[in-house]
Amino acid sequence: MSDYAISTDGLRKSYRGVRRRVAVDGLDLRVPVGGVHGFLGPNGSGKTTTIRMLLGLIRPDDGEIRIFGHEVPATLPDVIARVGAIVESPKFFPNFTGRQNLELLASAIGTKRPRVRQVLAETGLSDRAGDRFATYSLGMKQRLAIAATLLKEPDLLIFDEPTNGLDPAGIHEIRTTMRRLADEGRTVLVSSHILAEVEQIADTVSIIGRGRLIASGSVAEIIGDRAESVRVVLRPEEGERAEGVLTAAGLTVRSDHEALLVDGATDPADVNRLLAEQGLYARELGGVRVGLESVFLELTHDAELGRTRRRDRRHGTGEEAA
Amino acid sequence: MLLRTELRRLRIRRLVWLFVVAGVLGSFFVLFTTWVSAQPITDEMREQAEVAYQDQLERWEEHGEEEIERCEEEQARIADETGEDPGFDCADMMPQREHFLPHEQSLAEHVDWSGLTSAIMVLGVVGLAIGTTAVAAEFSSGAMATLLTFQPRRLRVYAGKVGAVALATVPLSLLLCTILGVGMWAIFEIRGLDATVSDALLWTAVRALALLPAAAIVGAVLAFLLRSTAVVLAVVAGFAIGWEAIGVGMAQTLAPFSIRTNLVGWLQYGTTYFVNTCESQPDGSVFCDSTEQTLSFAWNAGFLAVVGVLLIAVAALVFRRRDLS
Repeated sequence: MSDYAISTDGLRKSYRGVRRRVAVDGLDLRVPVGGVHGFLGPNGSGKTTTIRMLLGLIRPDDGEIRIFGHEVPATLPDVIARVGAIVESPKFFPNFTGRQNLELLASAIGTKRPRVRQVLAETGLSDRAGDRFATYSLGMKQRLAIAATLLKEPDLLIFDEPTNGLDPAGIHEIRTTMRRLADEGRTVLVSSHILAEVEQIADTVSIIGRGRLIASGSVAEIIGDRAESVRVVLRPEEGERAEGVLTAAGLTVRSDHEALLVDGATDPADVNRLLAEQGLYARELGGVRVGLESVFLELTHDAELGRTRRRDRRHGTGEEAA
Repeated sequence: MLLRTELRRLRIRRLVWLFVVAGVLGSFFVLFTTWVSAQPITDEMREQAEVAYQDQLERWEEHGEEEIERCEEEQARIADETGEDPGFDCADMMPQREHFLPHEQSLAEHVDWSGLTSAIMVLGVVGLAIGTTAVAAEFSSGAMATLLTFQPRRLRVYAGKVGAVALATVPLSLLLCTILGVGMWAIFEIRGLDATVSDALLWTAVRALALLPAAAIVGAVLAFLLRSTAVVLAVVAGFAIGWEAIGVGMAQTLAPFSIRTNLVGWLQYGTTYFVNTCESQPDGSVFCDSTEQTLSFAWNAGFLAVVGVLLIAVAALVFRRRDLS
């Protein structure tokens, strides 16, 4: 039995167009069995392309994909019964009712009708099952898509941007559903660029940028030593001197609008003492917990910067060329 | 399993029923035009023909000999120039009464001259529309991608969908062919015209049964290739105008490779087409002759089968390898 629900090695995909566009660039992804795994990345970072490759909808140019140890796409039919997925927005026949759409999918895989009734009830759609899909709200469409994935009673659920366009109640509902599914022992892979929602439910995350893996691990591991910092607000004219004092003490100082964020310091009292010894008195002082969003922005920004630098090195700047 | 699913989907698809209604209405429109064209000769038409005949006979009695003389001179001149007798039959130029009566069509003639073309139009368009829209809707709604996350074996999905449109259109084909066939026969009977149903005509009707399912398969296959009803329609219209009308129309030697010609041949158990050959004469004029060429039923059936199998195979390969967004 594989340790990973999903693993990819050196996965690549580029699209032909006027210019060849690399969507996924040697991605090594590991999604452990069980729990919610957040698949994070800015728009255009290759999340949806990766998910489509996992589901055999598009062919990778290179690299390996395994789902529960089965090689994809070669042996995808052997494992697809264990995988439920919603790619981007829910896609069904608009003029068929919710029930008809589910019954057609169920009959395509030999699932009996009672299961359709069951998943409709599980997702709270029994009352509207006889209405046309086109008349559903976005939240209901999303619930129908979840109902469809549950027809197979899957071990792995893949949700691509599941809360796009939903209102807060809808977002909460989807989040709760994903958590519940994971608590039932399934693996849930959820791709998103909305970090706050993933942070609340994900056990592990992978962050990608420009089609490459930037970071992977548990949320706590990703946040790591950035977990806490101290926020200090001083008089504007004292900011520069305070930064010098704290840096000299071996701390990392970042500017955050009118405040200074001091990384590496876990106790605000230590920072207060250092500043007071130099005659600097904080107007505000407190501990700040760094969220996944800050780390994500920092990592994806670093990745982008690194890429730009690599590109510059490859092509040479104007001065270097001269 | 997939075939049953697809048949069920087609059954609950409203657009399919809309095309069924359109097919029935189209068939009745064809019957209406048949009713209008299947005119028996009335007493009034006979009287008019008699007047015209008598008028021509009078002229012939006055100038007949001169006309025969002129005809023979022309015949001799052409024979001198070309070395061949043009066969003007100058002695038979006298007006005949039957030449002035309008032709009374028989059922067999009506089917040959216009009935088949109308039937091809109705059955072909309805079949093509059902097949194309059924598959293209899956691409445009994204339901194809959803289905493939349940059944990733693409060739099975392809075979299921193409097979389903073929099977689902068989009863409709029976219905429309019955309406057209029985309707045309009934009209000729009611009009008191020759409504004899020969074996050949009966077999034509039997072979016409394959038309609608075949068109539905072609529509589905084209939709797999092009993924949009609008694009399929544009390609079919482009083919009909560019190849069938302009290409084959201008170069009649291409007729053996025309879908329309071979469809007619399939229905009529072989067909003919004409090729014009023109030669410059020593006096600078151009002499054109039209020769009739025959296409056997084996050629017609073989050509259509090869085109069909090629289309099905290419679409299967494309669908198997294509990225789905």
